[in-house]
Amino acid sequence: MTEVMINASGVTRNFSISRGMFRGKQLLRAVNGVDLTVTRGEVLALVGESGCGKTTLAKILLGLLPQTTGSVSLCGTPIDTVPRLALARMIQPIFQDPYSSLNPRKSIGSIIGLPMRVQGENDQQLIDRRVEETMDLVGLPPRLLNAFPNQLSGGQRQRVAIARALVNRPQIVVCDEPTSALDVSVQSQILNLLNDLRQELNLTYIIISHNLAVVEHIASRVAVMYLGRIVEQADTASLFQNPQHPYTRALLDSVLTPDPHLGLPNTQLGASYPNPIDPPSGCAFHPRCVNAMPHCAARAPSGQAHKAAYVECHLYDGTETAKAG
Amino acid sequence: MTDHVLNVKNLSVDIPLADGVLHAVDGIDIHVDRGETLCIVGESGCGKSLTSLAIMDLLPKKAIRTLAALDLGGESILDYSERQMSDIRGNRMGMIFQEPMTSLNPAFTIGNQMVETLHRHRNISGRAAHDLAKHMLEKVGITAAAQRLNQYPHQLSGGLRQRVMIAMTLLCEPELIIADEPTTALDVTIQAQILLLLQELQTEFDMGLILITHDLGVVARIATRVAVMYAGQIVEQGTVEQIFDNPMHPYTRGLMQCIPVPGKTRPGEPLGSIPGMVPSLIGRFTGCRFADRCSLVTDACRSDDIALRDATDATQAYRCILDPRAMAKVA
Amino acid sequence: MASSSKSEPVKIAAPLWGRSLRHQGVVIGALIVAMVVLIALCAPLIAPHDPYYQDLLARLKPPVWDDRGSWDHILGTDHLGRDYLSRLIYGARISLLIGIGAALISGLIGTIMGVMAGYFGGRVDMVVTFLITVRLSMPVVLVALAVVAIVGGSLQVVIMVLGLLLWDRFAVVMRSSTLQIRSMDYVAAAQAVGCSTTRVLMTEIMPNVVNNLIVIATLEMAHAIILEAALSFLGLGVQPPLPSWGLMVSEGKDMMLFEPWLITIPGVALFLLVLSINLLGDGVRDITAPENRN
Repeated sequence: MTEVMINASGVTRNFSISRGMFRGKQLLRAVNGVDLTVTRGEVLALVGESGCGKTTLAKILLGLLPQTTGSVSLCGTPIDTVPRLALARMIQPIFQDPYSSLNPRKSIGSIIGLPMRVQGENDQQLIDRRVEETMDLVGLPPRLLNAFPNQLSGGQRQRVAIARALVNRPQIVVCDEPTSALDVSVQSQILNLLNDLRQELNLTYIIISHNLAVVEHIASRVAVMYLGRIVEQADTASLFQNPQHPYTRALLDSVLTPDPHLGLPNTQLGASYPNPIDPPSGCAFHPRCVNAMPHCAARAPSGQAHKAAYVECHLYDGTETAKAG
Repeated sequence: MTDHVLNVKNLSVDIPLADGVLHAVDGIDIHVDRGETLCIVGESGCGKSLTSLAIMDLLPKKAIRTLAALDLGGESILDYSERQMSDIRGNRMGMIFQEPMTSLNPAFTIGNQMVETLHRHRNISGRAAHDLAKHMLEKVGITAAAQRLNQYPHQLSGGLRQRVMIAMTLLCEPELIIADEPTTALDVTIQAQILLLLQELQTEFDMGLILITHDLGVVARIATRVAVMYAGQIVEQGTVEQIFDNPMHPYTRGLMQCIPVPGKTRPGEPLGSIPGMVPSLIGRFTGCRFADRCSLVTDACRSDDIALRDATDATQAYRCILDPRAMAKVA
Repeated sequence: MASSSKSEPVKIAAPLWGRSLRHQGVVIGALIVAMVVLIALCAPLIAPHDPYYQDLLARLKPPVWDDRGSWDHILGTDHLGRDYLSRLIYGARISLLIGIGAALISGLIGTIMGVMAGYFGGRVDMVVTFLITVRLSMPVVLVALAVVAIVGGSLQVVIMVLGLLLWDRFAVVMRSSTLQIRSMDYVAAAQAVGCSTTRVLMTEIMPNVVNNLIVIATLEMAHAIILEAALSFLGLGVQPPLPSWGLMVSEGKDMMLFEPWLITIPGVALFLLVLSINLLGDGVRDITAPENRN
């Protein structure tokens, strides 16, 4: 019943940042020890501010970047041992910007058919049939088959990107901010489409987004990332009703719901997002945390289950009471 | 009439293109009072940014602006020369753009640029200008302001740059600030902070604020009044409560149903959507511009241009011929 | 859902030739280049005389528009009595051959280097960037002169030498445009659907950098034609009696004050050819850019 689609443990990805010719290199830990399990049919949302490592994590899952340490397995097979084409049949991306995700020199039909041709399919009739089927599935009229991306609206382009991802019927789809480049009225259409497709094709989604309203609407579970680590993970309803980590609370506070009777929230996140090259000591969130305690700067918290959530915070690991007592 | 900080009557922007004239903005009337925030909301291509550029007289060269009236602080600036306008811009009329990097000069330090602005518009220079600049940076919540004055724009994060931009705009104590998507490029947590800052400063300096955005959440939280634009026209305007609690125009209603709201929309259930897309604004257009996408469309909608009409409360107006009761039934 | 996009119209792209015809630069450039190519191809058919036939009795005849000119030699004759028009017509062959040959060789070298550097980055990029720097620090004319002086001048040598020297701009431009295209999401999408590196390079990168390639190729073609003229002028390019335009200028320079047409005619021909190639290149870039499709 609960088939594990993605299992990541201790995934770390480092980048070395050159500081110029004579100054050596610095280490940037974009993803720093992430554990993640996603089961079939789940929609896991990765949320966090820019620079928190959510896009790097997605690239590792897609096989576009190798992890530095740790292990990732898709459908029970370690990702490093899955051949390229088999991996492509398993997991597919949808990108944020539908203007840069489609090759401007290729027709819509050829863009959507590419994944099939790459898999070695040579029967053009079969490809055409499948492309038209998929276009119908995502709500694109067949007359667009020979159009070029620049003749399409943003919403149509995003549908093409979705069709390309789905043409080989993958099991997992990684959506990187699938609606944030789109207009409000188009955004809802794409969200509805993603929801319908998931049910129809029994897909598993990983949604990367900074729009928490969208996340609440579409995700079944949420992982909050901060400076390369997952600081809180819980199912959507409990995360939104009862956030545990101070950072999650601040993120939820800053969601601007369209309610004219509420004023602007004061998120109390004084300092700006830290430089990932030079992360704060101890708990990386402590300089911005309203609940920061002296030992937060000294030691990184270890994660544990608290109520329905997994949290990484000294508020819940007993050190607070130990100190008080 | 005279107490409006900004009063714009019948603003149109036409852009001649190869295949005809694009009527990008068509007959816009807006006004802002001191201490008031007017949000212009609409989707891409609705003309909201062109409207703001037209008010500041910063339109691209080939665009043609027509106006019946343009008053700033009760005095007409309609016939001002380019030179007079550039004295007003950044002085009495402040501007904040989406990407602060484009409006900050990368070759000069923050301090240099702030002092230069003060010198140019208010004839303050030297020590006094430097102190005022530092004071303003502190005002917008920048720590270590003295050091920041010596930094270059690229050394600051996006949120900090936007704060610097706001500080620079406030230097000359403008009567009016026009902010075009000021927080779109920022993270959600920073967005809330910047908006809060703008709101506090607006109250403190008693300025008029025009905020242009596509984000209904931002509008609901910061606006006093709202103008909803669609295809170059204002299709509905009113106070923020009127627009959000009792939207009249089918487009406004559609927009409201498109956004997921935590605690309100049911997760996983389909959201409302507006089918179709914005009509081409090239050439002459008769009838309601929303007709093609409207579920309540009738023949009368397409036969003649639709004027803005008052709702039950005269502060709210909408551009639709339908009986509000008929609309309520469908919604 | 399907109904939502039904009313959205598809803009039909203007055909390529239609867009070309509206672009003045392309029209003028293409006309002149086409004319020169045609002349070069049909040289034996249209040249009134044998370009190598010397008639020492009819030396330095002025062109027909001069009082002393005659219709027998429309552009006059040179210091050996060879028909100038015929030499000009045959000279077009040399110029085009050198331009196309050098641009092909250097284009191949530079594109491979630039695309590799831009796509793979890291060490590959470091090596290529180093090679470009080395190449840029060599003065083209001096190196070409030295090589030709050692190996001996001939058409093939000039083409090879210019081809091996003029790849720098290809490499620089291809590297930066590849870097830019490489960061586009459609490249990541192609990798994610399982495309091999070769496939990504050939179907996603190349079609989107080919615009720039065409522009650089035309620029370098023009550049090579000018350099050949310079080398020939210095006596180290194409060797006499081949009728190269550069050589014609060189041979005419002694009599420049008394018989100015000897250098003006091949000079103007060079100028027009180079100009029209550049116009064509710029125009082709303008009209093939995808953003201009509608």
